[in-house]
Amino acid sequence: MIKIFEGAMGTSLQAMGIADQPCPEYASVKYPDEVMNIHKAYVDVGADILECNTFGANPLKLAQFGLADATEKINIAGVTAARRAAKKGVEIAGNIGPSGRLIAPLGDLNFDEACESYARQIKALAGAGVDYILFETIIDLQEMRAGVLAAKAMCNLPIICQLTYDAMGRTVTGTDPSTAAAVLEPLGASIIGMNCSLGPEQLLPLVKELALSTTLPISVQPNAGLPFIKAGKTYFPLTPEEMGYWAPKLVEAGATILGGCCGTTPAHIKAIKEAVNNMNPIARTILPTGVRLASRSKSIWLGKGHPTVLIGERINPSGRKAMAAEIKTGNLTSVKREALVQVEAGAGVLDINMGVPGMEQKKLMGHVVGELAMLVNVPFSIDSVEPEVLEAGLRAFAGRALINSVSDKPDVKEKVFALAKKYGAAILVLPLGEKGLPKTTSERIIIAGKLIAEGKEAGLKDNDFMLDPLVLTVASDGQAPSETLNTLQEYGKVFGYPTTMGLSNVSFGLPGREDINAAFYALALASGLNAPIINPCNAKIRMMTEATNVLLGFDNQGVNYSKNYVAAKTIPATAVTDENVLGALAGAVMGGEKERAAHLTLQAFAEGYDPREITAEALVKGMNLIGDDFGAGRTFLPQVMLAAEAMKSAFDALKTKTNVEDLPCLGKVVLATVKGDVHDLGKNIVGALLSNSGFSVVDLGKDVEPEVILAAAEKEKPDIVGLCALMTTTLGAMEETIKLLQQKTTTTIMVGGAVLTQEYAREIKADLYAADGVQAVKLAKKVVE
Amino acid sequence: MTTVGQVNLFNPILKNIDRTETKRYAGMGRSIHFPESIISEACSIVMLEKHIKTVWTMYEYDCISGCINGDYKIASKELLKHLSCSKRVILMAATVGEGVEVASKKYFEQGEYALGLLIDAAATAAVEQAANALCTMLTAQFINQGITLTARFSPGYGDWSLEEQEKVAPLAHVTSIGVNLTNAKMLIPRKSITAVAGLQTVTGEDNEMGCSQCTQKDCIMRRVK
Repeated sequence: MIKIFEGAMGTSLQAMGIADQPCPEYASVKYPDEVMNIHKAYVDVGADILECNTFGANPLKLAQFGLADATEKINIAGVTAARRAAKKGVEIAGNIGPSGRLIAPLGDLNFDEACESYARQIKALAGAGVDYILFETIIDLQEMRAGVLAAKAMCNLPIICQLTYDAMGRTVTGTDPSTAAAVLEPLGASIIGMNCSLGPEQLLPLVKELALSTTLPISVQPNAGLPFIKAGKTYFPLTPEEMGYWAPKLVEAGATILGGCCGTTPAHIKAIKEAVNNMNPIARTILPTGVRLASRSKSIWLGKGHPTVLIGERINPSGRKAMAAEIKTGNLTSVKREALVQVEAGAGVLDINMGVPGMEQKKLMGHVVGELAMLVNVPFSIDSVEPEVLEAGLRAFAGRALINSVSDKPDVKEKVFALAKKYGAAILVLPLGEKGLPKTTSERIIIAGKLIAEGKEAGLKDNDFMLDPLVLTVASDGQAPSETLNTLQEYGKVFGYPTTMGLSNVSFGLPGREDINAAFYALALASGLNAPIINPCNAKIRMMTEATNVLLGFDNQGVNYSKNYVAAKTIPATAVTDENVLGALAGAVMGGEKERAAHLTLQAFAEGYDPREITAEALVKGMNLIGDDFGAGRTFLPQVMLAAEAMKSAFDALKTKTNVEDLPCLGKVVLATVKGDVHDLGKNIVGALLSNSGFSVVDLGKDVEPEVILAAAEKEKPDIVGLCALMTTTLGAMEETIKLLQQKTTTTIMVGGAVLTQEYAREIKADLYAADGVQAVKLAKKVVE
Repeated sequence: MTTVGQVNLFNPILKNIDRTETKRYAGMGRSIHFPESIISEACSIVMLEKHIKTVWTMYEYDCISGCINGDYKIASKELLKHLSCSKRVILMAATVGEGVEVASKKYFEQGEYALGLLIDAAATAAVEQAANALCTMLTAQFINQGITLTARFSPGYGDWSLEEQEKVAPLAHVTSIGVNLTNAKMLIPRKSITAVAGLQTVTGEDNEMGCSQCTQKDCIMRRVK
């Protein structure tokens, strides 16, 4: 039988004019009969589950109306109104909406604070006797996680989790229905679904997607279409008949509980009820076997029948002194870089280990997990031997993580299993016994089997476990790798769970470790390894993974493999010609080829060209030519800057062969961005172009007082003072500086900057105006000629 | 849903930096020959160094008098037109933080001019993406009330003077995301923006925004000539 929720409460309260005294939820206290009557109207048309008027009755939200202290009173009043309206057999759901603030690092709300706020509301609802805890209109998966954790802590009631999706099929913070299922089902949701924002037609494909991703019942509460306001009144376009038309389609797509959100009325609910009255929930597709992990916005499968997933191992400060030292100073640049690089190289999961000696690992793990989840969208494996460090990572991660790992260690394993159950995480089982390393396959199978049984006792399920066969060093035991491969095969036969292992240990103490590792990797894949913990940046491993995916049928016709193979091939460098080395050098400068420019400069010098000739006939010529191209719109600023870099590298090469004094100096320029202006990129560009065109440049920086510029002009006696201003608000400071300089010096003043024009430059009595850096060089040359 | 005057923080997730926009802000047209590796590196550096934060506040708006929150009167004719169908407005600010500037400067000083320039451009792209992400989030939040968000409009755009930053920044609560205003009315960190967007009914006329509507015909960022 399909169950039916009641329809909109908020819009009904609005229509009665009691929604803003001061908030809709307070109507249950102030107008209990009116609220009861709204429920009753839904009961009369056949609603099976009523939703209490408690949507915004969490203390965080109520605090906006100064009603946080009335949390219990409002929730109890909401449940009472629904209970009074309910007939026998009608159930009641304690309705819980968003807290109104986003959880850090997306927003400023602390995760624990969100949990506490929900816990207080749930305690009141459960105490007042609701039959379900219903989270709805939630837009952030992390907020839903906080809610479910609070619900599990406060009661044993079934938990309904409804997220709100946009027209692209994602929540505002990026979660799709399939990922929501991957996270919420193991976390402990009883029913998963969606409500609000979209009408039934738009929700239909999302229900289909969800039905393919979860074994749980699915609830759907569409809006009566997207609203519009006319003459100050809000209208929802979908009629009850239209809602009735879509209801059976939602059931056919997999929905088992239907209802209505904004704009739905008892007439809509009646139409839905009548339309699905004789329908039963459809038989659903059985989910694939294996373990599913998820980030906030992406879910992946691991195991037999799924492509190999690389678990990136490089976020681990053990044995990496530089990374550890950096983390100690609070700098996460290396950690973030490793995350980006590994994901770019194809890592499907990132292992995160924060074993930095002398650091509070618990706090660090939570912080790093939060920060990295803002950077990459792959699921994480939280790697620690300390349960409290694991918990910090699991709490902070808005997804379904892998726990790395649990072994047969009394007192610890119980805590780790409990964490996996509490946070809905998957768990990596390491068959390490109390007596140390088990050498044989049969010993490992026995320990793994024991741990799996204990995990299941703690509430875990088949799709929560991953197994590690243990990798020992071949140099110390020639049979160790065979035992590992044998264990992998036996795991497949006995348990059928996905397998993982860190394989580089096998080659320890041997030369050519990469080759041994690669060979072992291939053998392990053939023996049933699904997700190696590995350095994905290793080219051999990467290509082998891609090749294996072709051979095992995960990359149809080798399309991806071929694409990456072509990309990996290096393009041969153009042969250097020496017919006219100066011409070639000018070309290298124009093309921004730094290494080639340096090489050709040295070649020209070796062939007997004078440094001045090299400078004039090749370097400056190249810069002039690209400057002309820029002026004509044939090239753009970054190319000019690249040419300047090539010029710099050529100059640097020349300086190794000759005295700096022998190189031509065209003149001296003092540069500054004027007082009040904090922009210095434009000025830096001009400085770089001038100094690489033969000028000596004195850069005074940004936000420079007129007096400082004057002092520099008097001391350096430059040919030109260049002033820069980017914003209209600092043009006054530029004018002031020019006045001062002209009173005390005779130096030529050149101005430039985004907002300046020739006319304005004239108005403030600047001698020269350069629209861009290239023109500045041209004008400077004219001045010194 | 938010109440009038409430300060709301949102730190959007950017999964990448828009390469096309980065090239545009660096002054490069489409399809020119330039090493893609430098653009990739600049985008990666900005991904690492960015600290994205946004903040938004809803205010009452009187479209007759052009007054936001009863005290700030808009002088810009273009902005008045832009908000002519709105009864409430959102004042917002976004920043990518200081790290990107430090990185840009560092590479420039090392003689990697093109990379320094492109980091600056990628940071501009990032702050625009952050503001866009905020607007997308707000649009999704208001659509259920039959309300849409107009395009955002920043001081310095069209005839809305940059001097107005002084009034706009406090209304946008820029300090709550670590942004400050200098005496010359510039936002620090430099890669920060403020903007206003109108809330209007879905049936109201939405104002098209973009370079073709802007009166600053000589703007270097102009997409259309």
